[in-house]
Amino acid sequence: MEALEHSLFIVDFFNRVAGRPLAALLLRIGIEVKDPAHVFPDYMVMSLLLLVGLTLTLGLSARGLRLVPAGRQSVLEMIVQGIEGLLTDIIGPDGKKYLPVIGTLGLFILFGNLMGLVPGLMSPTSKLNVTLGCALCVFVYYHWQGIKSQGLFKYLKHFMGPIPLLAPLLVPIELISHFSRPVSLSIRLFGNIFAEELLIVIIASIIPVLLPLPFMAVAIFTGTIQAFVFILLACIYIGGAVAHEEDH
Amino acid sequence: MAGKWKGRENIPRFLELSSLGLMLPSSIAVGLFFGYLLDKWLGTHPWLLIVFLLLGVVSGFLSLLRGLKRLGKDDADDEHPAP
Repeated sequence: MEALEHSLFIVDFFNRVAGRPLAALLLRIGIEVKDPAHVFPDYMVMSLLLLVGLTLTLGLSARGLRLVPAGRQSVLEMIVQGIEGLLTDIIGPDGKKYLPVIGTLGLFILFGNLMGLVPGLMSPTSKLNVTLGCALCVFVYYHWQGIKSQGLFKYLKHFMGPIPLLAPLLVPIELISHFSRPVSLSIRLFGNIFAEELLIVIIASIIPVLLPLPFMAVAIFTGTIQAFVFILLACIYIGGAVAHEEDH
Repeated sequence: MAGKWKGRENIPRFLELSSLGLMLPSSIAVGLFFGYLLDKWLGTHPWLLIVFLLLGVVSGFLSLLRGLKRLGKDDADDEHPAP
């Protein structure tokens, strides 16, 4: 959150440790870095931190599974079942095979959103680069799944609409509507998280004691909601791409 | 957990509805961007920009209507469950 005024300690530390080797590596492939102390931008360090943290925590909690879940295992099973339920609700019984992608995205975005509330860290999702990356993953993935389940020709035929005469008009319209999906996905997530962090920073700069707390509580709520909206829309897009007959 | 709170199953629908608002501006922006790029590429300034802006508006309304239709269909299913 303090990123507006000065850089974060972890980012500085990471740049000091890994900045020079990366700058040397980049120079090898012909990219000259002007300032080796700021090679890694803050969102990249935070994404890496989140990646390592999630992999370690979830990987370790998946050890020693029991048939009757207790403690952390029941929490994890609740998350997995929740996402699985969403997938089967929207896509149908086949939806379960998309669980790895949707679940990973959902957890990454959820914890990325909540990360900004920890002092000394910031949300990677409050930068457009990260959210656009996630949205482009969804974009490529749902087209790929659509082509895989229907075949290339049949999938492309969807873009032409039901009447061949209207195809020249409908193809650009459909293309625009498909390309607007990653734009709206990424802008929605980025806008919400960025605005919420900015709001907390501004409130904290006016009265630093107690007053930011209700806003941080709201930030937990909006962060969860936005992560859910992201995976919900990803499910709807995948469902629309792999659906066989109806007018999606 | 089911039945704990009556409006629970409506939450995804609310969220989907809230996501429709951004459909229109993003479609218009993408249409504008396509038109601008094509104009630059083909040198037909400003005609393709205008055409694609209009196509963007149409596409935005189309996605809006499709989203509303899907939500309305779910609603009708709930109110009159199939026998």
